[in-house]
Amino acid sequence: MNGVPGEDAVEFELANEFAVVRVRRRRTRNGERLEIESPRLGRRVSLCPLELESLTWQTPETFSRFLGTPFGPEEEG
Amino acid sequence: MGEHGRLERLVADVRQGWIPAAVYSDREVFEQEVECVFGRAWVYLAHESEIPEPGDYVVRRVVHDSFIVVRDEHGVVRVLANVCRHRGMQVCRAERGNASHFRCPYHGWTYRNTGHLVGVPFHEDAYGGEREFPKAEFGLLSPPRVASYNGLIFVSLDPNAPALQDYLGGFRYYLDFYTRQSPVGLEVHGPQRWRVRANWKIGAENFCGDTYHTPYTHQSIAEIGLFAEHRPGKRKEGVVYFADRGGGTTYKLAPGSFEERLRSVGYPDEMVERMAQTWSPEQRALVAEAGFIVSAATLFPNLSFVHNWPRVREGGPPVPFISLRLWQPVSAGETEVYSWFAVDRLAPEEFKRDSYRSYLLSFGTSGMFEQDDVENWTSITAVAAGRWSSQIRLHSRMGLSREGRLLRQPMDGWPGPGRAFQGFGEYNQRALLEVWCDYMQGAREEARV
Ligand code: FES
Ligand SMILES: [Fe+2]
Repeated sequence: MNGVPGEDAVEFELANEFAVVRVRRRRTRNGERLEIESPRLGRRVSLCPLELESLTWQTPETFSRFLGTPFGPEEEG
Repeated sequence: MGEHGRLERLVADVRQGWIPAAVYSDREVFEQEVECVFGRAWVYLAHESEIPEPGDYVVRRVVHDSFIVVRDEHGVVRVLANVCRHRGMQVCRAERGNASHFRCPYHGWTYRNTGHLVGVPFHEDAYGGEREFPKAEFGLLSPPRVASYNGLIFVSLDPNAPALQDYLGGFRYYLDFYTRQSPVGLEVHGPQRWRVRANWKIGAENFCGDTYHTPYTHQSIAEIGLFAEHRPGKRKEGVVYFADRGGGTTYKLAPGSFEERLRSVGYPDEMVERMAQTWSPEQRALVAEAGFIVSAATLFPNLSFVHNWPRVREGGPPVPFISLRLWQPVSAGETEVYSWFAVDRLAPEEFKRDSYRSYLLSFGTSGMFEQDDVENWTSITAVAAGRWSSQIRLHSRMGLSREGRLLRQPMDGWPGPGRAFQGFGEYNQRALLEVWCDYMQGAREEARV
């Protein structure tokens, strides 16, 4: 059953006292992505290997910038 | 100020070794301690090995002040006040964890683990953005002074405190026996925490110098053969030493070389070798020439140490362990005890396992010593709270004549700093409370020699 799109059974939760995320490997028709979900904020993002690789050269400061809006973008409904 | 006069009289009695019981129960005394002792002395928070990796943190207190001890993403150890700069919420509420950023639970201000404020919800709308509210000005604060020695992290809330090295003074010589058995030093595990209805000073004094209680309070431990050393005569041969801000007890070892003596308490050869290389000639002389080995100790105000070597298996060899112990005051009548197991990081794995067993058997929540001791300390604290009995002056003058002369002279040729006495005596308890008196009266550091 290779190449069947859907969610992989491998899923885990990563948490500290500030946040909880669910992480799973997602198969697409022709490849795969890593999905990160925040159940509390009701958001998710799906990252391809290249995007993930780009994270390896980010500095802590990059993530501080991400967290400039600590609960996500503020200008939507 | 009548109240002030009362404290002055109380301190004067303490200096004579006559301890008004109120010292262990009185609310005013406690408030003065929060101000003058814990507000000015160097107070222990954590060991660096408790936060080995970036983002690791523990939350610790100096009485009522909460601090985050964290290793930032670049590996720098920092101490941050656990107080959100917005409305004062505690930013970290778990007692330990790992995080690159801390997000305040109340309104979400978010700090990098360096303390820098990096995120404020609706920064522009609510605060007028960087122009009106520069985030750089609202990072988590640091306590006035932070310093470490052999991986032990201390803070002082007094900007004018002496350098930690000077505060520790001669006690550093003794501290190394517990915390520097190799150039790499300790790893600590725990802490176990529990609360006892006892004043914080009682344990601190006990660990500092009470060799006199061992044969009686801990009689059952000697009886079952866990410790050969706990016969009254054996403890009497020990020396108690005090140097600057701390002091402790020792045991006399049987004749032998440095190596033989350390082997006799259960250290494997490779550890003995590292100690020989790490300790100074003066430190080696304590074991090799004087023939003593450190046991319990206290560094003012509330950090204690244990070094002991019970038998973990019947008829088996002794196995030494080290434990760190913090007497965290909750109120005049209650103390939270923090107890860590500590072992040299380079020790063989098998030794670490046995040493941990040895610790658990004797100290910590399951330890036999602990059960024996705490019964005494809660009883003393309860008595000291009595309206009438709080005024009774307790006797802490062992080793002094009626007129206050020393019954025995300090030892000659003691290889370490400070003053050392052989045999029973409350020399150390008096010395520790003498430091306490100095702090309670706010004597300037410079005035101490
Ligand atoms: S109190 Fe921390 S964000 Fe308001
Ligand atoms: Fe004891």
